Amino acid sequence: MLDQVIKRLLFLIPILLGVVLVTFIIIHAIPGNPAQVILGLDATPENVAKLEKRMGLDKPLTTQYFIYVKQLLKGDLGYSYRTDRTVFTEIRTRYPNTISLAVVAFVFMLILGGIAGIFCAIKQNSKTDFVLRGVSVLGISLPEFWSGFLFILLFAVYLKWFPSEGKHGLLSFVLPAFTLSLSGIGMATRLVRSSLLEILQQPYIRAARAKGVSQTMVILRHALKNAMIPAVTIMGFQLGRFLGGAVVVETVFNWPGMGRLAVEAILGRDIPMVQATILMLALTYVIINLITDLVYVVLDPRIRYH
Amino acid sequence: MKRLTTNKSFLVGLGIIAVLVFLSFTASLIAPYNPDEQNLLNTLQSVSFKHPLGTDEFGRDILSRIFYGTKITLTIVVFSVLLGGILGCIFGVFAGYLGKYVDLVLMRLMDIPLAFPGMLLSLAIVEIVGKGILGVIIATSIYSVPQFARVVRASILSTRESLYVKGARVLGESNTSIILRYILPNIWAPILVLASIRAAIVILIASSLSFLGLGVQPPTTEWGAMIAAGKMYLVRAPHLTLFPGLAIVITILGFNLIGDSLRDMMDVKLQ
Repeated sequence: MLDQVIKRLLFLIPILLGVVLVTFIIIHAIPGNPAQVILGLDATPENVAKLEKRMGLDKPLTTQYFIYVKQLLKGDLGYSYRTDRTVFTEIRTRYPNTISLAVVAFVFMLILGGIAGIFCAIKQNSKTDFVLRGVSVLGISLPEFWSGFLFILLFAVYLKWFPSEGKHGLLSFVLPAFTLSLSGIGMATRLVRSSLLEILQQPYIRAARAKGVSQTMVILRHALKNAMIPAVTIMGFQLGRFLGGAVVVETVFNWPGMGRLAVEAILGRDIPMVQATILMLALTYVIINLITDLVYVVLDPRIRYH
Repeated sequence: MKRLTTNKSFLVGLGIIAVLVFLSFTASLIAPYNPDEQNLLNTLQSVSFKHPLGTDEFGRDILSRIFYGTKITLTIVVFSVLLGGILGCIFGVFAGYLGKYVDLVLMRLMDIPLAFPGMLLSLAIVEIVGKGILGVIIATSIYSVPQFARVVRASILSTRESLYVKGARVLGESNTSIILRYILPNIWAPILVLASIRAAIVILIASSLSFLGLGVQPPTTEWGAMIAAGKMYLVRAPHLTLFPGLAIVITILGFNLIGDSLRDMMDVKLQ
């Protein structure tokens, strides 16, 4: 197993290099001259050229790329065009907020999706099963900006249970995290249900039943552990999505996280910030997916990588 | 086929999409008002007989705007999935059929977009290719390409060694002919399932882009953009966000129901 883990970790190196390269290409493909953006539209061509030179934008792209990678290795992400603070400071204040939101969303998904899935599998083809499956398809079909607004209206404006926006205190996590986890809950429910149903037909479960083990114990002690393996993968990828793509939810709830930072940077043409946020989110995404793969290997000894 | 016509969720999904297609072609005939006609004396009106879904901040009829929005949404979905699907199928066929280095290089290339979170990649791509319908189509299709490529490659690997393909090869059929006449017709099912699942995701991402102000731009009548404009009046006039959102949810639900029932049916066939 250890050699597989090492193999996967080595695989990470070209992927990370690829992500850095693609991010660089994307940023340089976005139309618009950064020097012009900083100085404004009425700047003289001489001033623009001077600033371009100072920023190194007059050098060939390959040189710029190597300078960029060198700075990255030193942990230097540059300065934000809009706030004049270093990009690093900005990301350091925003990143923990995205992580904490993703973790809460993950817990929601794990508990609610897990319970709903087990329930559906035990009561297969009953009314409860039918309704829960319907709700889970609905959960997957809801755009986050819309469900977010509905929750704000219902739970913040009318019922006043939770704050409608921002991050102040534990209660303010509930609405954005729940909105973020909705589609994950739907997917987890369906997956736990189908894999549990599959496992329950296995001979070893029949053996346990024949031995006189109660239904609850069969599920909890014998079936659930194996049924959770495929569910873990889906949930891991969902966690990656929570961390890498909470753009919409963070915008709806005015959450001071990385996704919101990325959108603000794009709208404000803040190139160093765009580059750094995309890079950080993509790296997080890749690493979470890798960890998910590894957890899968650890949980299921049948899996062998070729 | 018989199983499909008796599958309730497939029929509901198909019905939803059929109604939307119908609306997109007949919007100008059945919409009660011109979707762009402003009436500043009649803004933010709630639900009434005159305006079944109320009016927006410029006094425009929301029902008419939703009808007209159908066309934009379906155009984006159809072209995005077609573009991603065709490119993905081509890559998948080459990788799966030719194998070896072609396979290795193509599939590693396909891994690149998947290393980025989908929404974030679309955001960045739309900045490069430009906002507007074409930009959104390209940005949403890029994530589809590797997924189609993987599915097609896997299916080709499993059919390449089958007897009928070997037979065709013995008869002297060319590679192109084998792929087009023998292999592709036999792997349409997983492609169709993926296409309907992708359609649902494309609508989600496209409407999210316009909601963030980075997708289809006003004054084009687009559902996500309607919600973005309506969020200013969330408390005073919630119907501005409620109804266009409902239209998006119903459309996505339609595609998801079709995709789900097709997948369930395929599983049954595989067993």
